[in-house]
Amino acid sequence: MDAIIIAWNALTQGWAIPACVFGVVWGIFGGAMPGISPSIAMALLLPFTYGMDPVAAIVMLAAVYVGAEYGGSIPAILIRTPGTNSAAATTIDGYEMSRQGKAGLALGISLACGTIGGLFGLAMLILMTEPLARVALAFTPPAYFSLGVLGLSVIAGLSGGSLVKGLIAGILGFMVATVGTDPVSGVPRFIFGEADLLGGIRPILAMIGLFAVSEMLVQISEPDWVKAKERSLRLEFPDWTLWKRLIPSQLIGGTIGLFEGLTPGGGGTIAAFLSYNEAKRWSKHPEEFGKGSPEGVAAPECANNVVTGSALIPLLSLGIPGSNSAAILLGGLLIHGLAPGPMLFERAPDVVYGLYGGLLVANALMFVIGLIILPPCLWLVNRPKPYLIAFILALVFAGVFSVQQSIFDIGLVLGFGVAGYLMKRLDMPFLPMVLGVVLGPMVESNYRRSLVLSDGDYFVFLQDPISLGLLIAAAGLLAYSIRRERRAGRTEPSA
Amino acid sequence: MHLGRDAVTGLGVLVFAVAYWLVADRLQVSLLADAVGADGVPKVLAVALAMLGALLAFSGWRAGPEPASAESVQSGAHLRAAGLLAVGCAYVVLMPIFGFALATWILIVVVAVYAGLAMSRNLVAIGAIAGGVFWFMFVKLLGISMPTGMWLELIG
Repeated sequence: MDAIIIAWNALTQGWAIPACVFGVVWGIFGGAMPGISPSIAMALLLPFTYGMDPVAAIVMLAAVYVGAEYGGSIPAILIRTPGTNSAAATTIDGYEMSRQGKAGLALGISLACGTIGGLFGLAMLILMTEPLARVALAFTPPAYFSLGVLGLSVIAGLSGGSLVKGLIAGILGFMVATVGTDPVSGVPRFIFGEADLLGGIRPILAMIGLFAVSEMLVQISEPDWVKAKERSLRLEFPDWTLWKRLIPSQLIGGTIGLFEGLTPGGGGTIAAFLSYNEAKRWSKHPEEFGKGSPEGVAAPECANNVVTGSALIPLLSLGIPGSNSAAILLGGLLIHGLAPGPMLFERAPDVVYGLYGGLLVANALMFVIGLIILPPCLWLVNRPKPYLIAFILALVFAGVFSVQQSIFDIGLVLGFGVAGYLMKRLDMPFLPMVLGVVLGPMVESNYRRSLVLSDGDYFVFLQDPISLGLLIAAAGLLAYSIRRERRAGRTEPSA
Repeated sequence: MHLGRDAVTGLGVLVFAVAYWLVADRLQVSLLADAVGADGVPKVLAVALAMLGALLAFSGWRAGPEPASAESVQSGAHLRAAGLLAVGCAYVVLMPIFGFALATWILIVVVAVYAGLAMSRNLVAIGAIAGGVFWFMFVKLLGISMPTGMWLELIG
């Protein structure tokens, strides 16, 4: 009860609520811009927090995080351009629904499930911070390696009917991730004298190229402009029958989002892909995944919004920023002389409980603001196709340039666009490639760190109980997917 | 002998894997290197990719070539895609010269015309407004430094 009173006072005395409103709007706007990640959207506001009241400053940054994680799904669904890394999984079925004239429903599912996910993450943050923080501490380099392997095991489920092609795409993505400075020795790899490649290739550039630019190349290459189905301009929410169908996928998304948020380095992207794969595995309609399944939107959206709450657990309780966004929030706390950790709850309860209250308000506001801004977004994507292609390309190029103010990055995105176009023409799935790009650095660096720490003993991956558990889960997932693909292969010819 | 699409793709993947392995093999060896080395993981990836490429080529060769009509339909489509790619490349070259707002204006007009709209005053006006809106969003709202272009310097 005291906590509620403290939170109420912290939020109502001062500028916390207006800061929260501004933060959510800014976050949704930033998240919807391709290339502007939640952490960049937060970092852009960080300088303004110097002169602010600590509660308002922290609430505003957290609200940006909440808004941006949701905002990334809007272009992912409407124009096949994931605004953030974690929205990439939403693109698969969200965009398919949009193509089928169900963009309003896809956006409604994304908004509702995102809000539910955000509230679930917040509830876990409030209720389970202490016990769950211990899980985060238990993660060692072998466990991180195995976590990455578990993420990669999803490739089998995302291969779209050809495991060999899916694995090829996954390895190609991993190869992209090896470009840049070697994480252990610092040797430059595969940069061919290009200084812009020293820092590696950002996953968001690969995603924008593979999803958005390749789609534009495919669209323009169609000889006849096939008119898209008349799309609804209305935002729709699922009816009760559909809600019942979405509950399991939300539970999956919620559980995976909770644990991925806890593990530093895990984050929304892995959570979204794992949730998508698990939702498909447990669904009564797995054949609809990849063809516009509502569950394929609900699971990743719920998962990546849960992460906005669960990722703050190791930050607040242990002072460990598990993601770039959490690191920016840590910066915001430090600016105001607040060191995260167990003592924060005693030294600055107004900030901690104000943050909890602010996150609650931010999630509610995200829903309300979504209701207001989504209909105009739907109207925009129903403009004539030539305009749409022109505007999407301009938005993509501007967004990509804004990441590092680099023209070279636009060239990279065009290159990935060509790769995506060729892969599409060759029936090669590019989702595994995205997973390879995202998880490659995590897998390689932790694999090598583990071997350094264990003097080259490969059993280190089996001796750590978390690592062993994750490897067993990965093997189980892989075996299940291969079995399912074989079964599908056997039944297809007779169908 | 006509090879199927998968067979050609598999052979392409195989060649790429060999090239990648050769580049990995020439990576500098650091005094700080661990037992795996900077080239360790890339070489494992290259071998795995080569094996998968060979497997795809073999299964594609066994399956035989696809009907010729399916391929010929797409040749014009590739050219249209290449045209859009050329517009994108031109944008990369011209943005530092023209500046962000002007280059975006030109990009929108050119792409819309390429995609089938007729050139009109309306289109030019919409492109100009969009260029301005993009400039306002990224430069003013998000505070990102976008290229102003050389023409401003020429004007003084």
